[in-house]
Amino acid sequence: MIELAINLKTDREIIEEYSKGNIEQATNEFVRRYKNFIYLVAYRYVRNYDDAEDITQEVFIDALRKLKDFRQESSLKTWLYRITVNKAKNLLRRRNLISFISFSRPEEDNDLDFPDHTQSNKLENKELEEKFLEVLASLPEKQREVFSLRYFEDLSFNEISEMLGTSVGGLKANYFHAVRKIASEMKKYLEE
Amino acid sequence: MEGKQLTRKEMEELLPDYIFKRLSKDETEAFEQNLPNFPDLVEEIEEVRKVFWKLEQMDIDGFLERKTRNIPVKVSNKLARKKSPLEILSHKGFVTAVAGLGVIIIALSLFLSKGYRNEIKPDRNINGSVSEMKIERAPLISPEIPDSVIETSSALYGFDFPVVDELAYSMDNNVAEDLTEIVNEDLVKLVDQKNISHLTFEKQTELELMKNLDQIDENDFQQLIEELKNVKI
Repeated sequence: MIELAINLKTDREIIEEYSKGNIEQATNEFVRRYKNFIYLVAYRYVRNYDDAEDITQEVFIDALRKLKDFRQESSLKTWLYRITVNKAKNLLRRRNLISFISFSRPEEDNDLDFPDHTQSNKLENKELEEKFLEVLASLPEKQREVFSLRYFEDLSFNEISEMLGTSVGGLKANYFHAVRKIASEMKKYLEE
Repeated sequence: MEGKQLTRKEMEELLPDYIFKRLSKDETEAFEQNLPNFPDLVEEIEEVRKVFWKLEQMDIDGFLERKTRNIPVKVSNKLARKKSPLEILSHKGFVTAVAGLGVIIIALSLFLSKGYRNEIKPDRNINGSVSEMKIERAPLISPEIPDSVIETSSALYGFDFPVVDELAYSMDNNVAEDLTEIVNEDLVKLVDQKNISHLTFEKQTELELMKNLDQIDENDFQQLIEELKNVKI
């Protein structure tokens, strides 16, 4: 609760600084704080690093334009999450339409170059990471998102509930099923 | 929560957070007290732990930090560009409007230069002097084009002598002479280089006349000009 209060205060400070005209400092702090979060959310939807980066930049541009008017009825993270998901889904819709028209599949970035700790296990780790992201992407949207927001972002179920518009009970069930599926698929992969 | 009997559904909902150590102390104790009642869940916890232990080795945060390190600069640059007073120049609507206007002007110029210029038509039956030559104004096909536009277009094309004269007098004499020279040279080159057999008789005559003008003796040319003053327009 203390951590949440500190975060809330800090977000408010960013908005206040921005509203006062201290735009550069507020923008830097705002972007620095949320860039990884937005990037990862965008990537889960579009599965392409370049697109994820483009979406991240667009989200910040849009959000900064509206930041003065942000009424703080939800947290900044929730607000940014919604903007990001909307943009990612719009991009996917456009891609699907283009794909439908051109009878070709949309490009997917398979260059999943997660870093490795040592050079010797680079290939093994890269394959593992690729498989993990593949399994994650194959989950139903609710399961994928609740897992990611809880596992990677460490958000509370209440925050996730606000973001996804689902009851906390439903989220917990989705979280359990997501973990179970990931573990099951990854176990098969590791035993191969 | 201690001592509370948990249902299977409640146990399942707590399971992921138990594995990832995100339960409170009370919740953890309650979960562990109830766990012996669900042996299949004990097995599942072990399986999930094994898999996620591997996945925990991934340096996701470091990876993301590297992937997003340039984003603050890029966002700042984009914001700075959007604040520029020249923003309107990069606006899609503005560019489209300018491009459209350009296309219309070019199309109008080409259309006018081909369809609305005045032509010198020598009468083929004339057996007398050049004073009997008459200049006919080409019929206007599109009445909604203002005369001023047609005259300007004709003047620019170089066939409406009175307007050319007016323009010539309004500018520096040297510039006017240079322009006339350049136009004449280009026309002569055009006649020399192109096969004009496919052109109409009037066109051929017109081009031949322009070509020959360059070769006419100065005295003859001045006499021709004097004769042209008597031409009835």
